[in-house]
Amino acid sequence: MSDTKCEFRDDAGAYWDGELDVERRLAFERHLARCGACRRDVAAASRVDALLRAADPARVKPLRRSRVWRTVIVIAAAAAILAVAWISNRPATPGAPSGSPPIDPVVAAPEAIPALPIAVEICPAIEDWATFRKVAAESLASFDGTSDGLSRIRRLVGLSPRVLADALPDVPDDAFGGASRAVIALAGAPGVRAVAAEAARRDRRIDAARSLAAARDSEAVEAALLQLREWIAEPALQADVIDALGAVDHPSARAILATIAEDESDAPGRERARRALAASNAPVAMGLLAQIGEKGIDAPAIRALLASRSNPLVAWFRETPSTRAGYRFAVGVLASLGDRDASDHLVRLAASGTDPRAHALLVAAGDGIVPRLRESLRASERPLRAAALDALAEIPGRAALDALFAAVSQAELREPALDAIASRGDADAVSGLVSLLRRGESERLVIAALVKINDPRAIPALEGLRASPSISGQVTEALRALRGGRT
Amino acid sequence: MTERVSEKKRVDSTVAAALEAHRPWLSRFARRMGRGAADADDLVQETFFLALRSADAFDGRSTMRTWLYRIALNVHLDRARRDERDGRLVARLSEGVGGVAPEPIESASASEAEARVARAVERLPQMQRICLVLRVYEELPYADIASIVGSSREAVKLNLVYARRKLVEWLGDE
Repeated sequence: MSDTKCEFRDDAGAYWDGELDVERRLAFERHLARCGACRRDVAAASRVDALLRAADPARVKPLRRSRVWRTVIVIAAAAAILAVAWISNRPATPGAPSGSPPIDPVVAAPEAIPALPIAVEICPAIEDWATFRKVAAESLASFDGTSDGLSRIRRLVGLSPRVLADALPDVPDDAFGGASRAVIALAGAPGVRAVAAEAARRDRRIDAARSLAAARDSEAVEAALLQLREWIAEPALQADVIDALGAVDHPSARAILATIAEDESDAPGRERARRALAASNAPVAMGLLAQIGEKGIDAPAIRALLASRSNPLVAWFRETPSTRAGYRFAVGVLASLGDRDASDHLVRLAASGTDPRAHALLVAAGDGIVPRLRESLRASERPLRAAALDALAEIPGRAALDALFAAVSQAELREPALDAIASRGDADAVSGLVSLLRRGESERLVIAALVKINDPRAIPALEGLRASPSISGQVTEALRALRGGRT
Repeated sequence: MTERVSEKKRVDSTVAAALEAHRPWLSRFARRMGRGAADADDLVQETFFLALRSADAFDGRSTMRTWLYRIALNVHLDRARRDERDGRLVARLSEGVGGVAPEPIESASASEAEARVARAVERLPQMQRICLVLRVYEELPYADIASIVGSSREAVKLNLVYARRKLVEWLGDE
């Protein structure tokens, strides 16, 4: 790399990156003409970047044409021949909708097939596109929802699954539900777009939502979710969309449901979304429900599934990207239900400070985990005590507050426990603090907590302490604060 | 649940829709930070989760993309710290589900040259590696990188200088 005395020694990379301002760039270019080291640095930056890009871990590697693909190609070609033979035997249909113009055979073929000579050979024979589209519409309308039915349509359309998307508008309303599922299954993302477009017709929207939710191809699922999100704001569609989202096994679908499940302004939607999440039976969904306070989750069922190696949900843990996150959420659910092992895991996880969700899950666990947190307050490890205090500071309700008051009696926890009580700010804390004050316990800390809570009910107790010489100054200040600046 | 927690949990489906469009590049970013495919998806999912949870915190001063980079980077760093300092805890958590192990980084299929580059990048100090990934792969300007990593533009520039020098030294004339 460049000479260490060169004033431009650190500019080569920025020059290569186009990050030098004009003045500096011109100066650097003048310098480059006489500095071989900087020229080498620029070249090195370009070489390093090229090496990195060539080894990009996120690069999509080209697929090799495998025996599987060769099989697909042969089947597709055979299907095309069958389709053409079938179509050529049909009488011409006068007045058939003109629809789309004949499509380029290469464009019409599925992505992996364009180079296949058979496509060029066969597709020009399909002279009457309108007829082909009508046949496709008829086959869609008669789809019986079975895999055999799907295979029949696949054999018919062969190399041109896109014709299904084009034919969908021609399918009668009463057959649209099944037809739309077939189109999505066979035409992928173009099928999703066709179904979504058809949803502009109000009578078809609910069927469209359901079919989109049933999509399995990942690209189709993504497209379907975008469409479902658009519809969710429409009251008439909401219930169907929520059910549809519940049927989509996709983290984004669950995230959308979680947003609805938390919406306090929409009680029916909230309940429906919670049911849909629970019905999806995914640990992540259970975790989301736990976070929003849903208690209707069956603890023994979760415990059983965690213990079983053969349970499909355990397989889900192993196979989905959310393995660890999902497990932790499930632990959160169990903890909220008072499961001792799960509670212990969660408190230790929060104490380790390595996963911010652990604290949120402890708080969401609520009363169910308070007994375990009380035990943690007496643990010898300081991080466990701190994690328990942090959680108790945010868990609503009397049980958590009582646990904090109990911690006040431990000398090393007195100050943080009083801080936690003050940070809760709930009115129930005032009477407990006043009792401590009357007993003469930790007066300075208790007064500070009362000032933080800022509840005038503390005033009489403080008035009684005015005469106490050691704290009279603090008492006067506290009274002034509680009276809004007046003494 | 306290009001504060409830506020944090208020999310907007519009944000969710907007987030979804960012999934592909976030996934690529996670892989470039050394995550295996499944782990990258996990990271993206957690990024979205946190983004949805803190949607109110997005003030529009940066682009949504920059904001998501910041969240994803924090998730990545949290996980890296967690993996490093708390490996045993993760192993214990895994016991209950029949030995779910951390996912290996998928490098078996990479060619030797690619693997060598990957190992060299892995050896870089963390901040240099992050700046390099954001610049070379994500093609972000220095100012954006500085905003994402919470540093100055000059610091980004120097991190890139040092990173490239080390790679030249380690990789030679690859």
